[in-house]
Amino acid sequence: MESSRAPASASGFREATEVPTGRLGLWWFLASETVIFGGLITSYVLLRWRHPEWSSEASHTLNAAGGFNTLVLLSSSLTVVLAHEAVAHGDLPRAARHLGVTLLGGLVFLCVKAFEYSHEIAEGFTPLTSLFWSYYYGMTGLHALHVIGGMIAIAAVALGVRRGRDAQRVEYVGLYWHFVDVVWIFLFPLLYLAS
Amino acid sequence: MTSEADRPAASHPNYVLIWGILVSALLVSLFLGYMDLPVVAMVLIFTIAIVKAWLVIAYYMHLKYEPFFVVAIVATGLACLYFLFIGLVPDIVFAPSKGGAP
Repeated sequence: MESSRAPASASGFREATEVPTGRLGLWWFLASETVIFGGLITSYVLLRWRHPEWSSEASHTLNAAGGFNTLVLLSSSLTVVLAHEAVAHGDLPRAARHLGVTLLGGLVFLCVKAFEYSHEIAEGFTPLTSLFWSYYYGMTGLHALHVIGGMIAIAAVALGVRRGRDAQRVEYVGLYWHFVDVVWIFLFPLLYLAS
Repeated sequence: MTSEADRPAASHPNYVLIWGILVSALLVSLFLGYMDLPVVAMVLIFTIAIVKAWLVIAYYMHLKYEPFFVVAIVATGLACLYFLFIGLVPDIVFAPSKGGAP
């Protein structure tokens, strides 16, 4: 009897998992990224547990700027998933526009973060000030690097989509961008609100 | 078998509605951040953060619609974190204080 499942080479699906190879690779990559950010967050949480006095240092971070950046990332997650939806409907120009808006969101996020860093350094809070500020700059800096990496990937995919190529990659950069959003969802309360 | 193009389009929720819930949750978190009930506020803030992360992972990343194999990949990363957390507790939280030690 002939199987209804298409061969992996023809459809891009892995027969054993019923998941496209690209998406499967992205999930494995994101699982490894979870351990990278999770390791930092885990050690930070334990150190906060041991040092309740860190809450006074966290009170110097800018809640309004962090909240605004959370709104920006949540909104860019919406635009990137709408780009994926547009690809599913075959509307590549609309997908490219949504990816462009997502890029704009990433740029706004980085500008606000740069403003925060300059404000905090002007106030005398540098990575060498204390362990709290080392964690603050380390975690938000690593996150910002991931935002920059995501923006480069989204720009490359958007250029391809505008030319009608490799539309399936929209989902893959989208998965990565959502992950960056999820990391920030935890960094925001840990570094800003828990003060 | 559901095709790649059909998978999210056929069963996805209203993405804008999910965004509205996420933004509402953010506003509640910001409000709680200024409350004078630190413990209660912190519990609520981190509960809201977990719910927000779940909404993004389940509906925007479509984990809710993925086969068990993909869920297992995510669970593997989270399991590593759990063991890391348990393993670090004695070294960080319950270790005796020394001069200059973290």
